[in-house]
Amino acid sequence: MNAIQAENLSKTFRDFWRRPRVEAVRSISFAIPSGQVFGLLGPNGSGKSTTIKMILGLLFPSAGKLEVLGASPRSTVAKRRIGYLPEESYLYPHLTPLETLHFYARLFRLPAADARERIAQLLEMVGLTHARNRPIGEFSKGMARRIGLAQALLNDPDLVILDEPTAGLDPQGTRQVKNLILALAARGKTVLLSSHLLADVEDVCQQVAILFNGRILAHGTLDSLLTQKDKTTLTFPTPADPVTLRKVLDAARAALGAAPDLDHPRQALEPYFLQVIQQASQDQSASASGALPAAPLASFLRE
Amino acid sequence: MTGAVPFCAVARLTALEAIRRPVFLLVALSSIGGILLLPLLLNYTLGDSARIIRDSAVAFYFVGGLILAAMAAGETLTRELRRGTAATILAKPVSRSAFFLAKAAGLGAALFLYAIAALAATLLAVRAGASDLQLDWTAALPALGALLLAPALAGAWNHLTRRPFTSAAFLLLLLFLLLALGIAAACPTPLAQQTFPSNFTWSVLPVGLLLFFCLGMAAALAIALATRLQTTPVLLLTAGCFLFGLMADYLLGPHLATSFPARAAYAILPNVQAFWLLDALDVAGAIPLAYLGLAAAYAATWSAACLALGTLSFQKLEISA
Repeated sequence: MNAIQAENLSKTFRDFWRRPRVEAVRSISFAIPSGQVFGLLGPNGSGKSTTIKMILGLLFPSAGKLEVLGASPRSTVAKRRIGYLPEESYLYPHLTPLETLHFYARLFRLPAADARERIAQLLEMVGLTHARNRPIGEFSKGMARRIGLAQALLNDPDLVILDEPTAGLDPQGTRQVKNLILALAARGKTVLLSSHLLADVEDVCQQVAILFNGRILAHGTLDSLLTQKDKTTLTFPTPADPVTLRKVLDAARAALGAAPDLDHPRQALEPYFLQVIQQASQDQSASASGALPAAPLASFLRE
Repeated sequence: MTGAVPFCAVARLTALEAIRRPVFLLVALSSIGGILLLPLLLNYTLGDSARIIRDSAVAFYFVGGLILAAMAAGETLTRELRRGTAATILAKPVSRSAFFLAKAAGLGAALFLYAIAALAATLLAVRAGASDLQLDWTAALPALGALLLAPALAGAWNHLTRRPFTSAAFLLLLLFLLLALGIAAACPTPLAQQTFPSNFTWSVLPVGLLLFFCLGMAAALAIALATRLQTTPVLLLTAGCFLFGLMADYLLGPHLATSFPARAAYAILPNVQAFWLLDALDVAGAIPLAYLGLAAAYAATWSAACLALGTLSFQKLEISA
């Protein structure tokens, strides 16, 4: 079963006189199977956010068919199973995180006791328990983003739509979001991720669609799109004796007819950075005014 | 029944948002401050000061309320649409009609709080200036104390807790005005030694209630217009519509028998004259309950028509923020 199904979906923005102004989305078709992490990629203005807003029923398609969780995008029944993190942190600046999350919990009609428990877990998860009573207007962009993430997960959604989820987050927050996406996918949830940060998408998505100028230019699994089947990488421990390495190279040259590329693999910057910060936060137990290092997932999101 | 929970949550937040706007406090303080200063400015100087104070206080209340209704109604929706919070809420299981009507209800609640505060101030001001010969300090002093103490305590509250100053100042003002009303009620008037309930001019309340109906109509029109227009056009159109409504008897009255467009315009425009009954009060002494009921029904029907059109317009609105 598909969580989202779009057929020949188009969106044209019109001016006051109903004349076509911008063709934001041009007859795109795609299907996101339930339980998959799907990446919507594209440069600014490619139609990603317009597509997401049509999925959420905020914008109306000019043409084509769109089904979300088997219903119309405007169905409030379907929306009970959707979590949405918008591109910007659209929150009430005078409310505290606690008030904000209680407000959204009431929109989902969560029983008060459940809401209290989930809110406590989510605040712990996004590292903002200590700032739960501060107005969000005083928060940094990254901290507000974390509250946005918490509100998107309050209802333990079956379909999570994340629009640029790592924008404004520090590397720890980014890693946490990626771990969260993987954890949600492991629980059979569907995740639609829109981003232009390719590394983030590559780390978590099973399928991607690349949009440009309102059209899908490429669509498929990451393996099918990225694997270079005509090349092979071989990794082995560096031999203590340089002669051993030369023998390996000679053997490879003899077998392949050409010398293979030789290099030492490099650790990616992100895990290295996280390792350094983890070490530092274990050494210092000083109080912090910003977001605290990543905590484990909220338990209701692990069940 | 479960749909009531999100409706109430949005309505409550709308009311809070409205009273947390600095402009709301500014207009409310100006209007209520103006009402409370009337006895000090007009007492001793003119004959018939009690009636002038009463009429001026009600005028302050109505004009302040009209500005708040048009401005807050226009802003509450356009700001949510511009800021993107409307998109976040409508991505949740909240229907567009519930969202729009909850915004209107929240705004009505904020206006109701303003009306209570302004009418409490009016009762105190009329009581304080009831005599041309002597100011009634048992009403004037607690009222002026409320006016000064509320912003001061709200400032201290803001300094200590970082909670919003504006809503605290407004809610404290409302609370202190009700307390002042209680203190004044416990004291007899200085000259006539009248005790509660005859130490207040209660006939002001039905007049205030009628004007609150009118403010509700203004808010309903403004919030309906805000589904398509920005704050300034909403403010101008609402003010224009109610100004024409106020003058409809003079402008359209002579043409009603002969002109269909005049009859149509007369029927559509809000009949503000029906809600301004201070002059009639002087003649009749009291407003009959049946008239209040009819006026309420007229205001409710007119507002419901505006809200129905607003809901229809909001259903088709594309939310791109």
